[in-house]
Amino acid sequence: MEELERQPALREYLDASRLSRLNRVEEVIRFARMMGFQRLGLACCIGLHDETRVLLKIFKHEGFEVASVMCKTGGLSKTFTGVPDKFLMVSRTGYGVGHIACNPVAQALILNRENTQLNLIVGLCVGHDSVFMKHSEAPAVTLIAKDRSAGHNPASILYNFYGDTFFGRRVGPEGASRANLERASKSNLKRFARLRERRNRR
Amino acid sequence: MKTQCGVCARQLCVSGRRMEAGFCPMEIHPDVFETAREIYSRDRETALMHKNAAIIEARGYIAWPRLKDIIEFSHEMGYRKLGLAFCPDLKLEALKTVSILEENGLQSASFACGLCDHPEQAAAMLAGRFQGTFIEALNDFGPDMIVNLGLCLAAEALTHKAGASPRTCFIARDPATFNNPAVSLYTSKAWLDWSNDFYKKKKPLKEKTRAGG
Repeated sequence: MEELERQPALREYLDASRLSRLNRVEEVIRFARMMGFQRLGLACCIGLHDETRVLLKIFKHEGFEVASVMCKTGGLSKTFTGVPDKFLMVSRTGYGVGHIACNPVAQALILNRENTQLNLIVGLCVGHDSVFMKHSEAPAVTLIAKDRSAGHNPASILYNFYGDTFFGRRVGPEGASRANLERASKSNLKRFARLRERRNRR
Repeated sequence: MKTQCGVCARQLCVSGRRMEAGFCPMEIHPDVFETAREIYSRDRETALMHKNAAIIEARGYIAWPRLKDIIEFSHEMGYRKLGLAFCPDLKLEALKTVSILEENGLQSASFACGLCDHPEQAAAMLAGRFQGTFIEALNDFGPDMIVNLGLCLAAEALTHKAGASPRTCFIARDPATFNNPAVSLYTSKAWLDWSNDFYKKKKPLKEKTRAGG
């Protein structure tokens, strides 16, 4: 019975989201209103703290109750789940990452305790968002998919030349034009192969 | 709704300390973290995913795009088959993603979500029945991980806990900004107001570089 009552609202929502080109934040607001959700939970990455602040402001203005939890909460050490020492303080690419691990299980448990009705993921990493989705009781959806290299626009890698180069689908800038490729000697081609191998090994 | 990490100004939890304030979850729910530790030591899959995600983060910090993260994470976890759930609007992206995944040694299949054309399926999924929907086909394929490639918010929420496999997200669909939902925040009035205040207090770049050498 409940299904039949909800069907027209769902149809209206699905049409609106596809045809009237809402952005994702508006979509969240409309979806929560349609389902009658009042309490939202934000599971955020510490690197997206500024975005979280703005989201809180927007959702409070729209009249929702919001709880937000950052990923480093709890002070769990990375060695607790057996991360090797060489991945602890400094990343392989030369940036500081620290020794405190993200804690997606605690995030999910806190939001469960706050009785949220819809959990929004704001930029969790690839494995951590699977852990969060596994332990969250309310439906968990992604609001922002984090991509550190492309400014949170993960689809951009599919459209441009550098994306193709990264995955080895085209030759890099040195060998981009056909003329260059024809002129490239065997040792040059070997060098490309060696570079690609080294990059993949990292 | 007391937990509010969004209003925290100092983020001491990065170094393992806590804020002595009414909004900090480490003050309000101190017992939750013991339960979380218990889950990490009891649930082997969770612990493994948590560990490998931390390793992937350290290996490709800022250098790798999200798709590379997904590929490396699957290799670390020993996944062979990936199932992609995509919106028909993002057909070309799905095609290219599948070919990239196949080139990197992951057997992958993509499944189009047709909920816009069949709202009765959406209503059935609300009630917890997945027969005849794309989720059933996905589960029949038996993927090790389900990748969400541009599902809209309703479809993603409805598929919560439908499949037995772990899920992750590659693209968050956003028709207004071409699948880049963060842009709608950066161009909002709230962001501009905040950033005007925030960056006024920062030192100009020149002084900073001189001090740093």
